[in-house]
Amino acid sequence: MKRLIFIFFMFLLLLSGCLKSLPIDQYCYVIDIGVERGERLPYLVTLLINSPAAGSGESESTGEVAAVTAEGRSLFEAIETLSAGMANEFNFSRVSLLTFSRDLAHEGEIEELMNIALGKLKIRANTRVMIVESDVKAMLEGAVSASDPSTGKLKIKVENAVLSSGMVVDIKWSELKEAFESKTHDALVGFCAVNESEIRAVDMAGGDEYPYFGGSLLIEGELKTTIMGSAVFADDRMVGILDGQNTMLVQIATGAFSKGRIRLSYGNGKELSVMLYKDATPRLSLEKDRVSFHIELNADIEMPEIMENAKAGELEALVQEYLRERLINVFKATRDAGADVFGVGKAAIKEFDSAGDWEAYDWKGRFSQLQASFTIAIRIGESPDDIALE
Amino acid sequence: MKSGWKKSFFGLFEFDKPYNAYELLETEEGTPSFSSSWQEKSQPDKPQERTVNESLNKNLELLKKEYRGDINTDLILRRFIFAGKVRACAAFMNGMADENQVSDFIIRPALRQEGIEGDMPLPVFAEQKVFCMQETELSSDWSIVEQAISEGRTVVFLDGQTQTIIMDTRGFASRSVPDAENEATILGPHEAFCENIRTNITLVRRIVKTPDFVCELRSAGGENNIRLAIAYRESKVNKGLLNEIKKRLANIDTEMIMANGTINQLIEQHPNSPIPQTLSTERPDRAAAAVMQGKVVLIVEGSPQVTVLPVTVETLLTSAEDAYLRRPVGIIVRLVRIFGIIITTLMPAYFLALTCHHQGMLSSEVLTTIISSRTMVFLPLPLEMIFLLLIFQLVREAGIRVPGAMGQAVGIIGGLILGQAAVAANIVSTIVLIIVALTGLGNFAVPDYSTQLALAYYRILLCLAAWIGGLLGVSCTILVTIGLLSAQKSFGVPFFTPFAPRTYRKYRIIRGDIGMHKRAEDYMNTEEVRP
Amino acid sequence: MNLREGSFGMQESASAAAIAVIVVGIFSINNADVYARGNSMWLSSIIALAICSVLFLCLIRAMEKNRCNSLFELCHAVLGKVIGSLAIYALVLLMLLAAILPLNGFLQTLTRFIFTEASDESIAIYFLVGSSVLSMLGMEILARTSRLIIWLIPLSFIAVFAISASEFEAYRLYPLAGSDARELLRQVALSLFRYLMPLLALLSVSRGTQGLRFSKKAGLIALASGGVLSVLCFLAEGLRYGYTDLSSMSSPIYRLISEARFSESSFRVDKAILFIWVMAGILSAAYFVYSASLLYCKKTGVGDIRPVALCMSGLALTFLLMLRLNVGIVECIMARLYSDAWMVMLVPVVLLCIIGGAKRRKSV
Repeated sequence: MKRLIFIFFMFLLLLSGCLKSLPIDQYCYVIDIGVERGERLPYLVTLLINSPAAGSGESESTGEVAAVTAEGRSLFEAIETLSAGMANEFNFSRVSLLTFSRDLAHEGEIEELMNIALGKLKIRANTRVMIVESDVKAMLEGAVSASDPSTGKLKIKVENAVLSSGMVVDIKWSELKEAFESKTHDALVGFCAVNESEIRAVDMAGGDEYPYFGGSLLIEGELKTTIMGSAVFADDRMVGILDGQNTMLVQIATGAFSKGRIRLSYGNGKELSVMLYKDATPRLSLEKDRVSFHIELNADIEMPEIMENAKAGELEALVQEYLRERLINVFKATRDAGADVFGVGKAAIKEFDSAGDWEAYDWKGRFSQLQASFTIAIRIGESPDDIALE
Repeated sequence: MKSGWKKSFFGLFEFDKPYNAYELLETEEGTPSFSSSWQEKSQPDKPQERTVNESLNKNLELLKKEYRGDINTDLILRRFIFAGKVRACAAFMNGMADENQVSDFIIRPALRQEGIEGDMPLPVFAEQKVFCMQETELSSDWSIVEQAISEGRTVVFLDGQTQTIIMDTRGFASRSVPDAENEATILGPHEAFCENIRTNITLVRRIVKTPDFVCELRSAGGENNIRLAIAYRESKVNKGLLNEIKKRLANIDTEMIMANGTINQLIEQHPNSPIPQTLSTERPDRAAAAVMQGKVVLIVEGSPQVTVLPVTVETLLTSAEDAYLRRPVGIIVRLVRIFGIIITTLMPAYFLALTCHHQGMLSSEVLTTIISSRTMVFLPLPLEMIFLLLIFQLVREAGIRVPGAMGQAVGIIGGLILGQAAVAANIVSTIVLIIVALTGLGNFAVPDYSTQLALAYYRILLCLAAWIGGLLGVSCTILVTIGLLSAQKSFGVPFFTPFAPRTYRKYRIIRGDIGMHKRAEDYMNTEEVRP
Repeated sequence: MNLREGSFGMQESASAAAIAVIVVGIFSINNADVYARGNSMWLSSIIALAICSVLFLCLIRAMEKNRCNSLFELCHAVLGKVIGSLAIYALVLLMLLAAILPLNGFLQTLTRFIFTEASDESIAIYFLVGSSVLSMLGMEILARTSRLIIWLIPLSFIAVFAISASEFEAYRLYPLAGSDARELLRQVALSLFRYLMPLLALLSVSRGTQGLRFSKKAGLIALASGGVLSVLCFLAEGLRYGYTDLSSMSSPIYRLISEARFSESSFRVDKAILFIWVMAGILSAAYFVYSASLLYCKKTGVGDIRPVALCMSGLALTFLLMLRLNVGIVECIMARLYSDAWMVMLVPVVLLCIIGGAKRRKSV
């Protein structure tokens, strides 16, 4: 009897059933996903997949990346269509980028796609999100590289270089979802295009036409994938675009900035190139109808000839005024579009004692009436006065 | 006696048996009493005592009958006339007894003796005035006489006397003190035990030069009647522990005892557990250190290893050299050993779990390397891993069994050529081969041989768990294994002492200062009083 | 009798209780319910911990006054045979509930993030094997195993906090009090159940702790250490996610670590940390199963705890799978248990404290 109990007990483990997983080499690992409007069906889905090259056991291949596309009435349908044509099963656990087309963003379909469809695919919540001007497929194909080191490393190297410019937003799916669902702030999402002619899109804050960002994702072939700045969202809809420099200004004001370069006019048709560094976390104070930003930055003037002839105080004042004007412009533009990209709502929520009161409060109405002031403290390093002394 | 496996596996399901295990650790109520009911069963019936006959002829007839004198030429019965008056006979085993000692110190003095002096009984006279051996005893118990002859001692029968004189003339051939081959160290002594029990006792006594060092000799049990010595420090050892050991030794009921390995399995509480509850060591310094700490050492005749008990996880994972190294170096060595143990136990299972169930945890380079290295390999990865682990065990076993000069060649063949060829033939992949090689290295970092083999068992178990359930299977298996090992006791001492239960010692994982070692371990509950 | 209580030290009993406090405190929460009207978890937990410590000390005092060695004896000594029996049976059910609530959380996390194609039963069977073997081995073994594993748990949480700290923002905690005072009180009541049950389980097995003073110390240490860790956990979750996000999450603490940006060439550690927590969850379940089995055995006079522990584990597994079924009446019962278990627990505890504290057992 005891033997029977023991044997039954040991069989329990076998009754545990299959945890249903495939061996490592029977998966097709998806790296990036792109969704846009299809020609015949509602959605065109592009998957960037990593398929390690076949070879002998001694092969040193780092694997190949390929882009596959399919249309479908829904995201699932498109993926099923793609899956039917693949030898291996898709594994979405390594997805690092989600890209959506601009029209989907304008129509507010991103949140639904993320919540319902992508939730089912078990994609990690720290996946990066980007908006593409139109051709998502071309943008992802532009990210394919067969060079060594691996595509993953190349992407990271480029992305880090891009992020260090301060002109591009790095936002995760979970952060975007938070922006959609909470009232405290709205999101800026990285924006890119793949066609030279579309680079000069309209910046909603206006101002001089500063070229969109610096740096491209290099590819073989003629196409270039260019990161243009950021897409501005109000709740779950895209309402406009900010160019690279305006994006950087918003990040300066919200504290997401670490370093970046600006160029401003400096009399006699010259342009002053200034490298800015974050000095302290910006402070925000909200009153009834006014919000004040206090920003502290360090700056390096990158033009020695100007440094020799100018005074530090002059240059600091110049940069401060330039930044202040631009920031006010950007704030007004985004405020008028109903997008709280400066995160003023984060200060507003602190005025409430209960979540119910905050939920019932018409924050957007108050926000649309707010005026903003920016106090910017610039400290120029390697002051021209010191150089003159040397 | 119940077969061993029932005690462990079914023990958990024997719902009608009370739980009554021996405990050594003290509690708030004090040290538990030493009278445990371990394997409560009646003592085997003692054979009826037989005494030596007064008639010499009858004694010799009985000896011939019992030792098959008509066909067994080993038994030598040397008749002589003692002191010119009394018929006598010296009985001994050819080859076991030293014939020179028999001739020079027994026969010759007996023959040269002229007459019997004094009023003392004849055996006493012979023992005290005639025979020149250093160790003598008088006995009229026939079983003692038989045992003495079997052991190589010489028994002198005197006609008309029931008492015999038993003298230690053992002089059988045996190895001299060898080098420690299986527990080799750079620092410290290099001597090892041999098969001679007297030599082994001497090797320990040379280090433990205290008057309270006791060696109780007794029969090991079994019908082959080999001797066993229980060595301990009488003023230090916990008396309850000693009684428990003696009780378990007395309960041994088996056909033969060949070496200490047999004794270990017969006295352990959990003989079917892969992890040993005793330590077998071939080093006298290690045995002596155990005795000094209040532990008990069992020395079995014919066995070049001795048994140290009780042991804990720390004992099994410590080598003799640890105490001879300087502290910083000793800490590093110990940490490397722990790292090796983790590698050897967990790495294959962790790798399997990641590749079978949790591919998202692997970095891109590793993922690509694994996939590209497995191209054309027909075995599924878990089977490949288990196959290689078994091959590793096979190579290890072959290396032990193969005669000396070829042993190295087997290692080279198995390790290099077989591995390389298997990769080239797409039987196994490179990365799995590397993992198994690292696992093997980590395995040999474990000082105790039995524990090395036990870890091989857990390694395969964890691989199976990883295959079936990924990290969930691995974590459940680890948890249950830790639980079952926590339940394991070595003569009342929980296996995971001093980690759980914790003891007074300051350092557990890293080695403490050698000067801190002033008294026995806390969990031994020795007789010395802690200030 | 083979109740396998054994004898174990204070560190071991504190470890077992602390693991239970951490596991039940953090992983047994119904996020959709507690975060629906703001985030007051960290605040309610602090208040609940304070109340729990007071109740625990009152229980200890009642046990000392009535010279009882365990909760079982106290129930009978103070409440009498009938009400005491009812209280004991209620405690048995509540301990099974405390065993399965965190397992439900783990099951949800595992099926959502790790084994996405597997069924609930396939995964739950692993919990059954682990908890049944450990509970059958006895409290001494449970305590020792807890002592061995406990150090992994704060290390894992420290790793989580360290990795995710760069994304903490204070505004997410606002409004600080969550909703209104009534909601805060409700959260405190729910938290009371989560923090007091491990201590009640500790008092049930206090014969093995070698004295009531060690039980008291162990309980307070477990409450303090486990409580601090769980409060820090709620604070970290609140600083990383707003209440709107938290209400739709199944496992925010796992999301904290899984959303960290690891570089492409490093290994991810989120799943390894999750399985450390799963081990703690199984250990905690075994602890509660054992305590429930012990109370049952003492009440019914069953001599051997092992078959009872095996059955209780099976029962817990059945309840767990029923909880996942979301079917009609089962869902109603489970929802009620989730929300009202604290009332069922509080009644006998308060009675024991008040009557036990006032009454003194007459000396013989």
